[in-house]
Amino acid sequence: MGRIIDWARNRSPWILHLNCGSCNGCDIETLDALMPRYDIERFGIQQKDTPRHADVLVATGPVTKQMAPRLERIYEQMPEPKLVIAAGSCASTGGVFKDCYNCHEGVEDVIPVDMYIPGCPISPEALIDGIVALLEEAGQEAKAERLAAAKPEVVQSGKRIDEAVPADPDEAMGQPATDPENQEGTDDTEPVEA
Amino acid sequence: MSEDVSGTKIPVGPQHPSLKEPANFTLTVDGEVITGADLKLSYNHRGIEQAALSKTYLENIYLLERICGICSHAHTSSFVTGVEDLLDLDVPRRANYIRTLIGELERIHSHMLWLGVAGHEIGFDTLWQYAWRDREIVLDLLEEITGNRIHYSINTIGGVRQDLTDEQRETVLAKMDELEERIDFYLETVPNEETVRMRCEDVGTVSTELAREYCAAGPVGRASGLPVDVRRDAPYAAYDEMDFDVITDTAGDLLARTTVRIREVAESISIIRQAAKGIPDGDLKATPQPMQALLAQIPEGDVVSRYEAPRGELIHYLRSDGTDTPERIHIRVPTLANWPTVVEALRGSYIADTPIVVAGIDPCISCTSRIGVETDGTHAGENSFNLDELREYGIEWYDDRADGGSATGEPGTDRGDRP
Amino acid sequence: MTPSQLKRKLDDELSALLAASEEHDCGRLEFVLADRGDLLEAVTTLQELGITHLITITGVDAGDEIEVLYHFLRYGEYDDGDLGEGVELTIRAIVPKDDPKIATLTDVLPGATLYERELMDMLGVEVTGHPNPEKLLLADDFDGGPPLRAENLEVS
Repeated sequence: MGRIIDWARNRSPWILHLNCGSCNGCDIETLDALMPRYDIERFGIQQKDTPRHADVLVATGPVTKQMAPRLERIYEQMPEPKLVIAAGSCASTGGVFKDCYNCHEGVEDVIPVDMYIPGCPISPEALIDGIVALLEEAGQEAKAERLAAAKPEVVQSGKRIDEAVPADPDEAMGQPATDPENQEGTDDTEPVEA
Repeated sequence: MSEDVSGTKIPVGPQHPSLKEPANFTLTVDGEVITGADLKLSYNHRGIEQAALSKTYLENIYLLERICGICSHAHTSSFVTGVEDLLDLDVPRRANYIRTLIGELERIHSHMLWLGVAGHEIGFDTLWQYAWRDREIVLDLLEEITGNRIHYSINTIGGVRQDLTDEQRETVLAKMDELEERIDFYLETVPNEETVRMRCEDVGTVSTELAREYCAAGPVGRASGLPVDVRRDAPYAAYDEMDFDVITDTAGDLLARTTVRIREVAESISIIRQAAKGIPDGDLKATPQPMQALLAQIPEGDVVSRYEAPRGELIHYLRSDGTDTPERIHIRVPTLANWPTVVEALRGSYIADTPIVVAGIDPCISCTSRIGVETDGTHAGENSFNLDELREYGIEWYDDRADGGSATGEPGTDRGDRP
Repeated sequence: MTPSQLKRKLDDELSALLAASEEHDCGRLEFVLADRGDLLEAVTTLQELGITHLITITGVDAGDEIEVLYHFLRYGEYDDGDLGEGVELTIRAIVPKDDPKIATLTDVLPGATLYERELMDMLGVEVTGHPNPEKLLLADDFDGGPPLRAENLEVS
């Protein structure tokens, strides 16, 4: 998986799992990711009990009307930067419960969603895949935001911020990318100097 | 179920009390002892019974499967059996054997899931890891036979959708040998393990009389001595050809509920072996008629269909008006039958016992993740707990007691990362 | 005891209360009460005969009236791991829609408590004397009518 973390706080993501009216299928597969076979804890991903310490909210279920306010509350309590994963068909679109009188049509009806993981239920591998993809994307955005702060002219030029981030930081420093002595790792979190 | 009981009222709310959210559980306490409990179960209500009326019986198989991800085969089996009764269809023996096999694999997966969850509730996370690791044996088998680990969709009206190949049969038998070793290990160690005895023996006891009054079902009822098991008192699928014991206990405490479930897994292994060895040749479906034709033939009538789900007696009531969509479907899940025993079991228990007593009936995760206790601040200096905090409170409270500390419930230790 | 034997016995014991009784092909017995007011007496009679397990209570909107079905189980014989077949039976009470009330069973059968609350939520039948008539499944601020009444069904 390589170095997946280019993260604002430069540490491993902590997950808060919330059942919003799910049948428990996605929930037991999410928890299964913590178990010996899949063992996401070896990547530093931990499950936390409280929203105040969570980076990623994994929400399952179509969101019943009673759960919607609680979902919102938990989202509000999470500190920035925060990400939301809608795990499963129900969380993504309402699933088989789309027409039910007591259900919303997925997590997006209530709070913003950053990543959808399809499946009924999801598999633990899909969850891991989704978290990794989400963090890579979030990492790129965080890098891009720092670049914008350090080099506002990039923003003014109208270039897309994530395209402005060079693949190799050395390029920005004007050195040949293949110079072995100046090769930096791609997880360098320092803003590049002009 | 709630009465005027004197003592401090502790509304159980999911988050901080000032947010005024509706509570799942209201515990009334006197010091550390619970004197009463009141519960509200509406968080997971989706409106399935209404939604089912605008779907055909075939579409409803997929809807009802998703009532519960842990016992989905129970729901579809119960439902299609009801429809087959209405249609007076003869399900072929081979199909019934396959239903039985999958049903018992589901029972094992559910009980082992529970074993892990119970371990987690008493702070025995190693048991959680072991049980869920061994559970993968069963999930792999289910995936190999049906194509999915959860939500197997093996049932259709009149039979099953997938066959059991000879190769899969051999794999099943080989894996049962592997699983049996693990279960022997759990049978020997879990009931004698120190943490389990401390947290489960004589805790949450429900007498036979009380279980009978509250019409408990499944392992909960059986652990309190009730003789009820739908596989025997109203055999369905191939159970009338299977040889197995109905496991009961008389203690009615949490330890009994634990050992009953582990012993039931051993019985399930035996049933799976019988089904895999004895499965007859034959068709997978009762009739080659296409589904639309079948659905057009459903007569008016009522039917009651019962099934022994892993958590207990499940009932599906169907009323047909002669069309291809049902007129009424009523489902009573076993957890609903067992909630009243939780309330009774909590009475007289310590606050610290709440998580394991609740887990003892094997409720849906969704029904329990929102339990909390709001106190006047005299419990470890906290104003509110959610279930996870309550679990930790329970673990520390018992640790403290075991170390000879005061039993008033002041753990005195830092509670770690807490807002 | 076979279903037929039990039916004969119950037909006898409940004869004053019944409007009809039936044995279905599958062995399930059904007893229709002439008057919903006799519900408690019928259930007490069942209990005296050793039938104590209430499986559930189902409400069905049947047009001008609501049928309330009480499903019971007579346990099979149990002997050290071996369990015999039981008998399923249903007591049917008719509740008119213009007066949707029925008495609670909780005084004699505490296990009925949650099923009666569900009946109240879903069918809007008032269960008189229930010790805790709070909403069970619906939100406290639910503003629709009982979801399983025919007029409230959003059936396509």
